[in-house]
Amino acid sequence: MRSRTLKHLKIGRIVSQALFFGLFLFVFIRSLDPFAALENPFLRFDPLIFLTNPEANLAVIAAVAALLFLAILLGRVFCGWICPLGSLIEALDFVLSPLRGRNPVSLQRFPKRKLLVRYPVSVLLLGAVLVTVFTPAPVLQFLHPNIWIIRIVSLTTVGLVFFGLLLLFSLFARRLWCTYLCPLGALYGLLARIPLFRLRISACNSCGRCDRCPTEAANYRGREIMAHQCLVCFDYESECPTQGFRLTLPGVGSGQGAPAAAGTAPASRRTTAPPSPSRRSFLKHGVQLIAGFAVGGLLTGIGFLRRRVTNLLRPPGVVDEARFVENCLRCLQCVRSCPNQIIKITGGEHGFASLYTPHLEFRPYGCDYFCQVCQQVCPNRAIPLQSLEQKQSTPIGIARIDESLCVVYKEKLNCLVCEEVCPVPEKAIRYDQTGERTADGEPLREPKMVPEDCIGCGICEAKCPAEPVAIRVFAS
Amino acid sequence: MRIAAIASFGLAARRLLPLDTGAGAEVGVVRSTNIEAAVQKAVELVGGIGRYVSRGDVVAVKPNIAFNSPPQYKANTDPLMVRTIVDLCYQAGASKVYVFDRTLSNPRLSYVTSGIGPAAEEAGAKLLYVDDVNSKLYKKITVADGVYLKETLVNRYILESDAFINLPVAKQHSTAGLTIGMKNLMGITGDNRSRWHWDIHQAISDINMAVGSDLTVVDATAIMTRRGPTGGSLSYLEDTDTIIASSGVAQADAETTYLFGKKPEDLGYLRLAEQKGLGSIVSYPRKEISL
Repeated sequence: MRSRTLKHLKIGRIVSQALFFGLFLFVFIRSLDPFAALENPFLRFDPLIFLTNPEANLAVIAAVAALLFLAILLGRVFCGWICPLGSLIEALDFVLSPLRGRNPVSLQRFPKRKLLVRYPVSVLLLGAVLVTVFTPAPVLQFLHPNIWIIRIVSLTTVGLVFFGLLLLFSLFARRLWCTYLCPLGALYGLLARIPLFRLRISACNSCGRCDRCPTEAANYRGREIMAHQCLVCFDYESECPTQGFRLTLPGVGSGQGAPAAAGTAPASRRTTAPPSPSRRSFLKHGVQLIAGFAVGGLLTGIGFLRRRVTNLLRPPGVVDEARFVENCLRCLQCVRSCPNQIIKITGGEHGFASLYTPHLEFRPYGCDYFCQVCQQVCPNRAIPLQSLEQKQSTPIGIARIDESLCVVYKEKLNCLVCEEVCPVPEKAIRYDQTGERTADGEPLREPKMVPEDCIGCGICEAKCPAEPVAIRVFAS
Repeated sequence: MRIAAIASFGLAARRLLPLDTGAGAEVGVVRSTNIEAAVQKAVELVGGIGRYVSRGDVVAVKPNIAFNSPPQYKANTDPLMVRTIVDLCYQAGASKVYVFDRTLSNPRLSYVTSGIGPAAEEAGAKLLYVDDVNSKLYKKITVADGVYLKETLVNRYILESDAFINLPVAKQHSTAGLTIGMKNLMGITGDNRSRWHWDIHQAISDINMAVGSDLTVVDATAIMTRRGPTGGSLSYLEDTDTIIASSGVAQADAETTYLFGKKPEDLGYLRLAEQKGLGSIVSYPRKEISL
């Protein structure tokens, strides 16, 4: 391919990265506005996330299929041209390149690095993730690139720790996460091994310039490009003195139709031979993937990873807590979007399985009767999207009055704030007049729960004027 | 705002115009299904908007926007009514109109769902959101002769306004009996108003003594007769197609009680209002028309 075309492709790739990163930031900032009730397409249309809770939604299925097809057609275009985390990593790599150059333990100096590229850990991780997608252990949630980028821009502690890790990675190699670790990259990488349009080397004079490939996918010694690592980034291809790169179907570009350059002889010799090393590595990837399945299977067997029912109050609509914990991506989208800010992040105190899952703490507003924002923004519907009527009748928990704390029972004062604010049309809190009177001689009205009408929205708990609060919602 | 001058000197907040003459303020009652026309007519019956708003005035309008609830359930003041009042204020030459309430639900959600936020903004009013109580928004005033409230935090925009218009909706309320104009003033305080429920009649009459509504216009187009103040079902509503206006908040409330089949004396805070000098709740001049 001509240098100019390749240069244009490189510019096009950088523009695309900037546009998608801008889109990602725009979506992220808009998603902070509860009235936007925005579904984040980067999460919603992600194949691995889709698998966690497949949904019969044609638009989503079409988008997921399109992304998978893109990988089959052109390779890891998503990673090179779209992925916001990938773009961030590339920016870090660029900024830190002077330091990396001087780093004595940089992976670029590591003689066996090509072996790592050929058999990256990410395939194993993908295997583990694929198993845990269908079984209880939450593993995907801690390895998924699109969730990490959200945690980073949300400036959460874990996100910043991960960002620190990325900075460190940048000191060792370019695109280290994308090359060796990312399970989504591994998925696209495996699809990229299906030989359709791929970048191939058709001519070579062994100048070694393509050693600068950020993912080390180009191997001029073998005259091959490892499609499962190639991000189709066109970073250096325009500098090839023989203009030997081709974006072609297999067999079309290699050796034939290329201008006869000095270095074509060894190239054609290689490409006419059966691609046995590639086939061997394909098998090894399969072995890795199966090993990953085993690792995933082991992980699901480990006690502390296993889902556990807690006494936490979960976002509205969640009826099967165990399933929720399994599906929840820990993306914290609901936490950020809740207009009442009552969705909180769970720490480690409820076990590893619930770490970073959302739970509710009702002050100061409770869960609004007419609000469904958390259901609308949840990318994989771990919080099910219900009709408003369903949402208004699905209990989050159940409220209980502590008569030893309630001023009506304790101090014979009329209060009934809980009854007043109860949004259920029938009122889940009603009152009895027992014949007793207040100090002012008014009939005393005692609040009474109607448990079957209570939806546990917690507005009563949020507004109760007693200290400590005399009405609280408990998981049912 | 009648008390503003005194309050800003840090003295006891009280009315500039003594109302303890025994007689109540005039009440205008309009029966109509056309809210806009009814509101205009009701204001006209009690002297016209020019009596309350002068050229250049800053006006504070306080509808009831307590809940995140759509307009058809009548848990909040009708948005069209709010828009009509804001329009009238600007027609009278108001320089600025603020619309706000200290909501029980999330203010941003409530303003939108109730329809009042968009309606008021459309008419050119400025919305204020009371997310939390802070010294920028609230000022402590002393309540002269207050029985339950000795001092309380009051929204600055009301204290510093030239005219304060109270726009309640009429609803059943278990502790207070009914919530109309006087109880609507619970939304101007920065205190823990849930606590006020423990002595609600004294609290409501005290705050109305401390801060006078220049004009009260009651939305009684459809009244919530039970399961208030949240409601949430059309079956709790009764179409009464009435707008009631008065310069006396106690008289506006007193007139509204009859729509519920009650008498003004049935409400503790109205009895206290009369005792504390807000005018008679049974005898007041009254004009009624149907459109």
